[in-house]
Amino acid sequence: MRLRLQNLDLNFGEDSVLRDLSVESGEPSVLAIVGPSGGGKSTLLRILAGLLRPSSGDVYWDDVRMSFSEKNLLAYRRRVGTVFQSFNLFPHLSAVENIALPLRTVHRFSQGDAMERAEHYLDRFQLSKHLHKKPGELSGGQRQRAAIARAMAFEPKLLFFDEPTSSLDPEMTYEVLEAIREIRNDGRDLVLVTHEINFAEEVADELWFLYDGVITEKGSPKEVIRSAASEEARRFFERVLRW
Amino acid sequence: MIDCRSILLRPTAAGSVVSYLGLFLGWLAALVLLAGFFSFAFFQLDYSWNWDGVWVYREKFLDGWITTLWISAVSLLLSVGIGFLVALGRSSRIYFVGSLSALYVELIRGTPFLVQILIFFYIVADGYGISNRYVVGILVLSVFAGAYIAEIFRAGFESVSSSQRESARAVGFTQSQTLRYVVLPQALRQSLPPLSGQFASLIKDSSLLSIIAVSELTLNAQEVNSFTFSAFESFLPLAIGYLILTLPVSMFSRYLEARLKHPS
Repeated sequence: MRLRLQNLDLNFGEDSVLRDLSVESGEPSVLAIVGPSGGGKSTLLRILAGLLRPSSGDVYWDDVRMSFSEKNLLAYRRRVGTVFQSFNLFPHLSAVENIALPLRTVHRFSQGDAMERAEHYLDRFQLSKHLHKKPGELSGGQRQRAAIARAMAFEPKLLFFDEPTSSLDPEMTYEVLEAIREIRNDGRDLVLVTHEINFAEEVADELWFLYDGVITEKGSPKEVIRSAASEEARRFFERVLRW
Repeated sequence: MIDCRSILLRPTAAGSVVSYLGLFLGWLAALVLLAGFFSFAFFQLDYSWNWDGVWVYREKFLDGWITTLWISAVSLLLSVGIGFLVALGRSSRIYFVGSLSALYVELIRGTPFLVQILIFFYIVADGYGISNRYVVGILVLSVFAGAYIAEIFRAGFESVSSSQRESARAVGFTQSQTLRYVVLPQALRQSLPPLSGQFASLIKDSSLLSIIAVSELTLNAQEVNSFTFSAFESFLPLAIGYLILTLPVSMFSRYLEARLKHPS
């Protein structure tokens, strides 16, 4: 993918979350966005995933301008997969129904095809024993893997992950990170907001550092993490890597 | 030998077995206490009871009871429809629809049902030419209960978190798909227990329709009292008649609460 942001602004009332953001990526398959909390990472991801409209500015995917009309956003959201921090799954539906329902109603799969596809993806993420459990009966890691399975089940070219591991303990984090590695092996593109700097370094082709609504650093993960130019970025990486 | 504590007290540890003997004795003691309390009061009263008179009119009680049953059933359906639409209306983006819904809920909940019945029957229904008192009774009862049900549904809608709505958008649901597949099932689940409580209230509130001469259970009981020149005898079958309707509703609600609990 090639992603270009041009003069992107986002204001919530008086607060400006993104400020005249202009940046252009290389051609990464996995793009990681990191930075301190409150810097606008999740907001930026929501704009890219078609869930939030910027106050002004443009987003280009492979030089095609993204349309922010509600009709086009709906069509766009139906082509991409999104996984959030938590509370992804619908609590009143079993794991397999969570995946099969959007396949049937949004992507027009037949009942049988939807179930088959849902079971296949749950199996891929080692959840075949838990098909008929409700989210409340699954562990945090299992829930997040089911959410990833749901985002992948209709085989989108592009996926968005918003801090998929931040509400999990280390063992479950490992499970989810393994699942993300799977996606990479599938050759799908992924934009990822994360706190896991080590993981970002390993899995991403390009890293953006977002600080106070502006991208202040970008490049290959190694470059950005080891030899950041700005004082804020150096301090941030020093702190998160110390532990 | 029987352990006294296990009969007297509910076990504290989760998963331990409840003593059925203890449960039975507990209910028995509670009933005896209640019976004793009222028996004392009844025996103090210097009054010659005349149950024969009530027995003669047993069919009149049954007729009234059946009227109460069907008026409640029809009003229940109507009030759920009204409540649902008004709950949606309260979150409407159109100012007028929002205001109208809020006005309706506040006016109905803020005034006595008795006043509403009188205004509707003698002024509104009269003005619009509705002369059938049963139609008026069902309408006014539905409008009354609908306001409370609207608030129950509204609380249910609001209990569905914004992250659930965002998740629904992310999987590509349209607004109506989000409502149908995500918001409604979760909101209904939240609403069912308070809703069945409201249904029990609706059944009892139908008794007030007696003041516009809807021939339901309460009116018939009052008539039996005057036919037989008695003061109290009709009230006992009256209370039992309502309990036969409301107890199953409240038991059903208890059952639903237990069944719909899903860990989140």
